[in-house]
Amino acid sequence: MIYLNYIIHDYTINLKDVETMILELKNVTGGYSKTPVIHNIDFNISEGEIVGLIGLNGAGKSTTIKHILGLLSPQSGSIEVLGKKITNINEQARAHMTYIPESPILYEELTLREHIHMTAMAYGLDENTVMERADGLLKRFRLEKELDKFPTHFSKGMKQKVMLICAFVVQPELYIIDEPFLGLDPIGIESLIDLMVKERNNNRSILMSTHILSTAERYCDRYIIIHDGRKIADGTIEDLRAQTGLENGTLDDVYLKLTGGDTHVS
Amino acid sequence: MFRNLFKSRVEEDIKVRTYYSKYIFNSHFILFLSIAAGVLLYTLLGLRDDLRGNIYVDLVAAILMSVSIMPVYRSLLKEADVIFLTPVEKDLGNYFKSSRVYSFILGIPIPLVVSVIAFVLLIINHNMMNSLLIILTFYLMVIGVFALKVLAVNSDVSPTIVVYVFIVLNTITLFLQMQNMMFALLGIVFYLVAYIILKNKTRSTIDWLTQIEHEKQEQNRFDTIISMFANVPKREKSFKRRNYFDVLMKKQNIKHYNQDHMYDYLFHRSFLRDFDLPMIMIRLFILCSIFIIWMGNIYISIIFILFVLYIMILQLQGLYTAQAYLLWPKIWPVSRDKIRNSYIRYSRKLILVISILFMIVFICIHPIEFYVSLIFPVWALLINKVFSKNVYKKEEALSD
Repeated sequence: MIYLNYIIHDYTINLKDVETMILELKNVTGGYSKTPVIHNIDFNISEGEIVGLIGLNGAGKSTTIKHILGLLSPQSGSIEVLGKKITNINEQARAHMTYIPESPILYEELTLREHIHMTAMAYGLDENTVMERADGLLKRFRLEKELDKFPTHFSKGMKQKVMLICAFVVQPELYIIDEPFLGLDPIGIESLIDLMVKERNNNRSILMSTHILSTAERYCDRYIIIHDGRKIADGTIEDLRAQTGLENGTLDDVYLKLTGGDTHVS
Repeated sequence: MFRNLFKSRVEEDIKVRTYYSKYIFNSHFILFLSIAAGVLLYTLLGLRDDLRGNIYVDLVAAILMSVSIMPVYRSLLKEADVIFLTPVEKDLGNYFKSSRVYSFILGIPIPLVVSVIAFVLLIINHNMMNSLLIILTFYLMVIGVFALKVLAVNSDVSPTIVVYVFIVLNTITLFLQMQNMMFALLGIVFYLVAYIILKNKTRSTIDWLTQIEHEKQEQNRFDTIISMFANVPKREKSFKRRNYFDVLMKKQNIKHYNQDHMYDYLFHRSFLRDFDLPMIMIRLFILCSIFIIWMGNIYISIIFILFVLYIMILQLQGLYTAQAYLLWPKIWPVSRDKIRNSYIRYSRKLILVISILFMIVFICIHPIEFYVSLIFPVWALLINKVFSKNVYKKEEALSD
């Protein structure tokens, strides 16, 4: 009996030690046609982490994201969200994540309020809850007076804020954000960073692709560096510094060292 | 060099037109046109004696000719031209000359057909010589409105307003000319005044952004016409808020606030805010109603209502295809079957309402044969089912 208790106790301790894996890519190779754009991409994201997906234009960041979203099917390897494998028709996996594209994609025929309603209906939220959540976000991004206007008439930055509101209103386990700072004004960038940090503190995870390294360095917990479609590094800034031998190097320095200063993208 | 540029763009445009023409002039439509033209001619010739001396025939002929003058101006410019062609603007004389010739030719077929119908109407009240003179005036008007539209595109004046103002002025001129040939001079005055005003307002250089925007509008106009007969995606779908329709988009009932009905919510808004769709539906309904009331013939009523329902339902498919290929339905955790289910539900509701409106018009004209009107909702539901199946099949093939 004493022995059994020990085993149960030990097992409980082990379970606590295991971090909840939100996203896991296992040797993913894929692209738009038979020729692969990304090769053997392998990484994971745990609960409550902000992970930066770093790389130059054309390095394979957006392609990797499209595979995670199920918009592209991997030629080999697999992707799991909360342990669920993603295919093109997997709505269950998509229910755990929201996506903010690089360029805002909005319905021309819907007002801002109606965009929020559509998102709420898609993610199974009730009207009161979603409007309660939206209220804070609208104030944060200074769009509370624009609710009944058509976002297609907004500036690019305002459109991007609409995308952010629609994604953050859901409060999913995982946010996938493609180039989040593009088109945002400095106040918008600060609001977004605050929001991301707040979500991380609520144990939600964020995968964010960017090539603005100085901003990413301020708040990302970990970095995955992709170059020419291959993962060349994965770890915290300290890990990357140790890997490159740049003790006090910035993320920019580390990136240049890792890629050999090669700015060429095939 | 720029002549070759225009040549390649014209060839591209002709290719697109040829491709879509085969959808418009399919065997069903040709059959319908032949029957409709035959019935129309037979009715008109049959009514000839009764209509003689009736001034409304002149009015109908004048309106018919005026509304058919809707010139097309296709510069075939592309967005990138504002960067690459501006430095060589002075060398583009031949390019624009060719584009004007091409545009004029594109706008000719409808006035040609209308002139034949108008001639049949004109000889009811006028002798051959006068009828031919009126038709000649009509052809001069076709050239005149085209020239004014080209000037307006490169000025601050809206080309659409110019065209609409001249529909009214041409109707007045033609109608008065039918009463006294000397009134044709009034038309010359109208055109001269408009020409002087527009010439003064025309820019000395090319307004690239306006020209390119106009070209886009013309492309959309072409797509709209094509979409009346075939299910083709528009290059640039545009929407418009109509405040008077807001009453039809009141807050979603809370019991329908879910995944199953989210696309009903979207389709309803897409339909009511579509730039053309609701207005085309209303116009088609009004025109068809006027026509069948005027004709008062049960067979014409049935054929026209069935045909208009066919066109309306065909256009509705665009609502589904527009949503099916967008990004968000692929990202949201909602089964794609729910888009279809919503479309089926929404399109059925919509076409039933339209069919009922047609039933009311039909019963008002032919109260004794009221039971025949039941054919309209049955036909509409059947056509909707057949067309929708084709759209789903196409979508599946593309997503594979």
